[in-house]
Amino acid sequence: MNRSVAAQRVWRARSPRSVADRAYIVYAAVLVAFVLVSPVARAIWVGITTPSAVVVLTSPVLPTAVAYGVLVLWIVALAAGPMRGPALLPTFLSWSLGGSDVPRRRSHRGPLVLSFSALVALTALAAVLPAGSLLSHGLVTLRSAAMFVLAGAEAGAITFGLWLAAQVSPRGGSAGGAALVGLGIVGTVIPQVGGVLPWTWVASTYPSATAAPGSLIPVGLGMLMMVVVAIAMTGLERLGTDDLVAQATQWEMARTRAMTLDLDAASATYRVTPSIGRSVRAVPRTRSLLSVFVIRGLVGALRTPGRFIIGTATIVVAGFLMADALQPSGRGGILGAAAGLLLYLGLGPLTDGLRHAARVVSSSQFYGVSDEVLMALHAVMPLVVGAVASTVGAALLPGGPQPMAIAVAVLATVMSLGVRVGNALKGPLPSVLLTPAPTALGDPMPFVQLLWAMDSIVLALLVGLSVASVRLGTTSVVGVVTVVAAMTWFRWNRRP
Amino acid sequence: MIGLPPFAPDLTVKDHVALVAATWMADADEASVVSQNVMGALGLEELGTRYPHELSSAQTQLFGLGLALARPFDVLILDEPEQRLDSVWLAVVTDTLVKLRDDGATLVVASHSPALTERLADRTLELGAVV
Repeated sequence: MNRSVAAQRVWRARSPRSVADRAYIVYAAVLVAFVLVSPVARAIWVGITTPSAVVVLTSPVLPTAVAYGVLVLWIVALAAGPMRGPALLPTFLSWSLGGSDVPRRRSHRGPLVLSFSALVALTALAAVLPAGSLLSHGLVTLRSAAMFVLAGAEAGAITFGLWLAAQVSPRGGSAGGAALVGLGIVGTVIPQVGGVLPWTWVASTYPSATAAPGSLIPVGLGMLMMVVVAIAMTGLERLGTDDLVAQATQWEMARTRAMTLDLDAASATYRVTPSIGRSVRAVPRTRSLLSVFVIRGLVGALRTPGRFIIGTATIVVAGFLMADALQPSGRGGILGAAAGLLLYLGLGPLTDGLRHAARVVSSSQFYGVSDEVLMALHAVMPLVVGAVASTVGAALLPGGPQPMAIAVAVLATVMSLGVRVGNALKGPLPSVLLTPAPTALGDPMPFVQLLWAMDSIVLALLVGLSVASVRLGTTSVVGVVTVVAAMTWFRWNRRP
Repeated sequence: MIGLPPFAPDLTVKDHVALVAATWMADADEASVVSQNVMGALGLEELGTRYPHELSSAQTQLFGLGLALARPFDVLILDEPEQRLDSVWLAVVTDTLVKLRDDGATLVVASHSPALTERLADRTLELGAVV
């Protein structure tokens, strides 16, 4: 018997399931399919086949959006590989199988096949939805739709190859990611160059009634897929056992934290550690407490330069979207929500000090300053950097800087920072939320727990939506500010 | 100290050893024999159905040694294998290591235990001797 199979057989036998357990799993799966998956799938299909959706799907900018979507997906795959790659087994299996002479392609076949299949299925499904919608309205031919779905599946396979390649060679992954960002910029500035880049190949198969894509494109993507996957699989055998065990340990830790709904701690598992500037003085010789905290926060953030740059760039994009949301285009809500979410995410790398302060004020008073002042001092740096970045983003709007757009972007930044403060003070899941509350309609507590875990994300979306509608009135902004302030005040008063 | 691997919390002691043996041995029968021999040599049979978190410090030390012995090796390097062991368990470990040596295995051991080194070592290198 294959030794990898023998070892995995011992592993799977560790918690044998009774017939009743298995029957229950089947029952639960069928129930979830009927109660959740089926209505959601139907709602998505109905939504994407409405006339208004078809107008969006036939928009001339959509192929460009597809191209950038594929580019971002590939960059994300290259960034994710060094932290959590597709070749991942449970920690003890990683140690025992990884340390043996069983070839990696055999010992890790299961997770590799699963990751490959999942990515190909997801990207193919993402292509099926618009292609199917356009086909159902008779706007494109079956061949044109099928070509796009095929290109989508191939893009998924390339994503898998890049993800694995970055796991095998983190340095190569970083270089590849930087190269893709650079090529993306060059392709945007010089459209002639952009036309030959692989992500635009996928976009060029986007189904259209007027132009039929050449059949060479799926062939080209298929060849690229084979090259990328082959390179990654060849390098797989060089992947060290220590690296495999480290990734497996980190993943299990993140999963455990996520299962306790501590999403902040789960994401912190993958937070990069400081790489540069350790010798740079973080605490300046000055009597100004404000200067001390601002400089210390900046130096701390710059010690993880990649994270700082990505965070700041995200806020710039958010500022642009926020300003664009004010334009009378009918897309204000979507743009505002996206801007709110990006602002919240972008402020993450700038608010390490704030999170630290929230932990410190929970125990005892340090540094000779009150708890309130400590939090306020730590909020200054992210506030200034965030406001400047969102102002830059808002000023990039076509037509030049507009005071209203800039004011709105800064307002959204301040509100998002408020959400960040509330999130920093959050603490563990209150035990009262773990108490079942049976009602005639079932137990709503799992939903409440989920809402508690996701509250900052929900508030971030509400911030964006409310600020985007500020031209219609300030009621919603005042409402969201009140909710954020009340939540923060409540958590502040309940701190240990 | 024996380099302890990341134990699986829901895998019994016996299954940990069996899994490592299965990873290295040519067939399931051989893996089973190796697994039983290791468990027997270290007196781990009674602990076979326990989970790692149910073991004492000394038992965990023996368990770690068991996992090391469940796979083939050219040289076995042990850093203070006597750590956390009382005299009874130390005798078990010493007997096991002596038998390995007598069977032709090469062992490199860093130890603070004269009792262990006297019985086990063909050659010793004393570092920073205290007068």
